[in-house]
Amino acid sequence: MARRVVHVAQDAVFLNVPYDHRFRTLYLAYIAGLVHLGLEPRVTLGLPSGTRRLDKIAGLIASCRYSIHDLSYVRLDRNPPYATPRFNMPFELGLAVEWQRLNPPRHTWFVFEGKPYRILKSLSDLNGSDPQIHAGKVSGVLRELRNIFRRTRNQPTVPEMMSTFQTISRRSGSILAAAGATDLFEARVFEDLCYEARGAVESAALLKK
Amino acid sequence: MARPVKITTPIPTLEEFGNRLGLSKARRRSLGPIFVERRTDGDYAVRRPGAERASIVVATQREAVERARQISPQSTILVERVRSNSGKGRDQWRKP
Repeated sequence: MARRVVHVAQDAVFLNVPYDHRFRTLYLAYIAGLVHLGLEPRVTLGLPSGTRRLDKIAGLIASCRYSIHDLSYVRLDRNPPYATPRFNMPFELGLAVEWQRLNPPRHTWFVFEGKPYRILKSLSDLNGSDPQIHAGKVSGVLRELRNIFRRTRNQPTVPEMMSTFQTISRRSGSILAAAGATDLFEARVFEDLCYEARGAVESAALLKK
Repeated sequence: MARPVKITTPIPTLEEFGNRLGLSKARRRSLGPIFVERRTDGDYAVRRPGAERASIVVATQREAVERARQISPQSTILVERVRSNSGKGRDQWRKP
């Protein structure tokens, strides 16, 4: 069987986060922080559902040099027919872990959590891999992103990243309205937020000159 | 704490980033900052980044800033400096 060569985008980050309105603020923080660091976040929004979805997700992870898995939102989904936890995110983390095991130089994954030591209970297979703890705060997400991604030049400060976050938070309402969307977890809205974040970074740089 | 990674890829420009996201020109024009620039004939243009043509051309800078706010109330407005008494040239930008 012919092996498919996967192009790995060196500045792409697969962002594995819950698509829930209660996670909205931290979602914006991840977008602002990653874009400010000169990285390109990628998400599963817009991927088709069905049997091929899994292949698409695996392909998306493989095409990204890094992945971030935020497991802070661990809870039961009480919607009928059964109250169950949702396993999609840990499953996608598993795909990334295996991809890195098979291709160590091509992928690096990071786990983010809200509470220290909780992951020892919720996902004990990861014992020995320390998660980044953001404590459910925007400043925590930005700090931890800055801790794991280092630029030798132009490393942004947390207040600078916070300013980008504030800009896209402020603009999110008009982006939603322009897209005719009702929540932020849509592919078009995601792209617009990323672009707006890059624009905010460039504006801040121009004003600093 | 996980070991940090060193990022060596260049930071993309807004235009490059827009291309990678696959955004159309029309979509880009509705996003990002707005620039208020002085034109060579002395009037003022309101322009989106990457746009070849000005959105509006008006006689005064104040009017241009007002029109920029009307076009996109939430956007960051960057005004080209027209005085150089602070030692900063025309290529510098300020908030309105």
